[in-house]
Amino acid sequence: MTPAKPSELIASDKDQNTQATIAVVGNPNTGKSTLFNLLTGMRQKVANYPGVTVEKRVGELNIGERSFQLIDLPGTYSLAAHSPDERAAIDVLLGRIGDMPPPDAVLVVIDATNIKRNLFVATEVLELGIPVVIALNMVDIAESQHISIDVNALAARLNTVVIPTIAAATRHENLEPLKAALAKAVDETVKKPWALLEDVKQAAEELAAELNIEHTSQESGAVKEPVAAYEVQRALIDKGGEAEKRLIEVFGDSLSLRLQAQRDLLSVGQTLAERDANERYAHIAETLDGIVHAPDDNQQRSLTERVDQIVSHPIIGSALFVLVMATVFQAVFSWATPLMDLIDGAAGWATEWVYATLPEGAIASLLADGVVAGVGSVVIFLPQILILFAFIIVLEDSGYMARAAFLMDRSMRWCGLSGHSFVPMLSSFACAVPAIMGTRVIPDTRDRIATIMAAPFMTCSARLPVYALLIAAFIPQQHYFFGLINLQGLVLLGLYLLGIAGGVLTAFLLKRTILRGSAPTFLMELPPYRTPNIKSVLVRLVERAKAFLVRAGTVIFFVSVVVWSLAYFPRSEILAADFERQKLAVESSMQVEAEREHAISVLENELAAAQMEQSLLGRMGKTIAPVFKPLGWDWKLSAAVIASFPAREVVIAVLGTTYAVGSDVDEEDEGLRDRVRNAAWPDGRKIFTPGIALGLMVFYALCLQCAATVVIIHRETNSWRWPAFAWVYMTSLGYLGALACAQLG
Amino acid sequence: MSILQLAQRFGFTSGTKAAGKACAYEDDATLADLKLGQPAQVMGFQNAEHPSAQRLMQLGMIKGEIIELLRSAPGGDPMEYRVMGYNLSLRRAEAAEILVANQPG
Repeated sequence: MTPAKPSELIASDKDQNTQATIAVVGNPNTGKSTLFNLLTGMRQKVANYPGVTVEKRVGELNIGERSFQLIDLPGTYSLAAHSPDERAAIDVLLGRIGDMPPPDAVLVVIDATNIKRNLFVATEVLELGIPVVIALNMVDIAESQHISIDVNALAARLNTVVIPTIAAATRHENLEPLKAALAKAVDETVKKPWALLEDVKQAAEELAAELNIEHTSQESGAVKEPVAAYEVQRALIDKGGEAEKRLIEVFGDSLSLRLQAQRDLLSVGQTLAERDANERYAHIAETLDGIVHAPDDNQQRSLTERVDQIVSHPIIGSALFVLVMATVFQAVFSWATPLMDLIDGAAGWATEWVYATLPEGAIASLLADGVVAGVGSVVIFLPQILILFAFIIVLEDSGYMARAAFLMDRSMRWCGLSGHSFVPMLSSFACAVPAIMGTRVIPDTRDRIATIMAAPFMTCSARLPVYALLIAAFIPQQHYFFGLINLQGLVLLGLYLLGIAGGVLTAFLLKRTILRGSAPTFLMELPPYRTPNIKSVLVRLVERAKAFLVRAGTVIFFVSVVVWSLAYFPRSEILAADFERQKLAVESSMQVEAEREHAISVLENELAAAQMEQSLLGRMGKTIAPVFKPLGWDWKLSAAVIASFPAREVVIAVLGTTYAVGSDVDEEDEGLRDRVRNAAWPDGRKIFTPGIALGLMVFYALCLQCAATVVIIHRETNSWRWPAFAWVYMTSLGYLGALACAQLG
Repeated sequence: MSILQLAQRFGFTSGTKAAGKACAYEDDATLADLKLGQPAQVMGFQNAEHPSAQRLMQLGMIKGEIIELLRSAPGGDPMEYRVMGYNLSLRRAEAAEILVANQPG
């Protein structure tokens, strides 16, 4: 019997115990995520890396009988990390994320039209000693630009597998060679990893060994993972970076002196990062010498350059940007409206059906007013979210988003943000949910959080019905300047501007206080224009829709049912019996059917209002009314505000019930308008003076009465602190705004 | 200001044809001083230890690399450059951290 070789043992372990994992690494804009989407399809899971806001995308890849786990790492130009977010890539590759072992192989995606810069990170990965497969992507585009690459020679010089792939790989068979190479790579081991700077590697290994001895001799109770040589190597090269910070956390400040001593020995007259970059690019130039033939750079850049003459032009480009965004908004509102009406109609039909089939009582009401209304209030957002997202993804994948950021950078800078924040902020005028999800394009974490905090201030489409009702009821139809300016329109404009001011000032203040960072950077590649891959766009769209429905849906559903039960319980038997008596009286006394039905519906509405008054919600409204007293609100308004926590547009239905006009009202309803206008305190004073009404509008302009937004903020910031802060902050602002308006009288 | 200058000021004509002088840049010139159509070579950084300098080197901003200004955004900032076969956008303040010299030859 011959003893098994160690490598075979490892290989069989992989097969039996765990699914082999493959990490996907590459520059941004190389079609890396498209390739990932094509390889894994819908079999994806999206989560966050612990402690940071970076998205962790894991998918399943089936090759023949075997199934692999594919991890899509954030696009990066190098494995160097200068922020916690950038650490995600190296943490995965070194196996530092929770219970994830180091990957069994790495797929490096490089753009054939720009091999030189793309090989930077590829050669870094090659130093890790993990089997590497390089996907030379977009060879079709390279060919159309007359770039020829000797793939076999490239593979031989890099001593790894190189598989050409094409950007428009919609058919699956195009990916077969890549899949076969990956399946082979996971079973391989690298005997002697290549190193660019042998002396640096050796120094890192020695220092790591020393540290590991010190580490074990320290009497720390918790056994920590040993220090990886590559991590020390990164700490040496990336002075002041994340690897150094992490090691200093474990070994104390004295380590930074030891690292610096090594750096001084290893590099004379330049920094070690400089030496690494210079020698790496020199090595890459040597590798590519004679095997890549590209025409002169001036010819190569022609198409994108010609388009950019117009698209990135300071004046024409800006005008075009306005046109593009106007088109997007037009589409969001005009295409979504019929779908939203359809969903609204379906919810109404379901409510009627429930009441028609089930006996009247708590169950019917729970199903109709709790479940159907709750599900409806989530699904109703979906058309807008999907349309807006489809546009954002297409703009991103085509390369236009980078141009928009370039053009808008200056205008965003004074509030401490960059051009990356502009499109998410603008999207927020339709709905904050896709806007907040869209902040993933912002590379800087602080900028991203400031944008997330500012976005919910923008006047989204759910605020419009609330404004429409209150403006129509309280703002007189006055015209100025020969009828050109309408007071109602002016108020609406004011509310929009208030939202913008609130968001911009919030970002401004946050960026100057808790989110203050080092000098802002705006290093951004303006990628060549490309046609987005339809399948990849659809995969991402479905993924976002799923994230919204599952995360936001469950919470909104739960909150809706809670609000329903607060408004429903307890039921008063006395009131119900009273209603029955009066109904009988009406039925016997009134002869004309129309009159009788009208009288009964008035009675029903009054019963609902009376039940609401003595329900938990009504009692809560009365309890909390003193808090809102300075704003001039009565208990009915207070109750409506509580009930509209899950979604601000709910306030209309609740006001409809409490003012006894029925809950099936909308903002166009004349009855509700009149009732609200005439609502009075017990002493006969009107509740809604213009100041109070304006205050209510200001409150809804500034507050965060939207459970979907709260949940999405939680998902995107990976913490509950930010959504809690946003809610408290915005509600306080709303309160103060309403208080100020109430002083107007 | 002539009409041509005005047109150039607002980006309606590219400066490519107006250029051609070889010795355009001073000794202490930075990337922020680059003129349209007058490529230069990267010499180094004001502070090579700054994290963004390290990042820029990885993006191809290494000594001897040829770099050209393509355009600037409204208000003259940020700027778009062509380096190592791709387009990169930098704010003026970041560009001022990168030292450049006249192209060789």
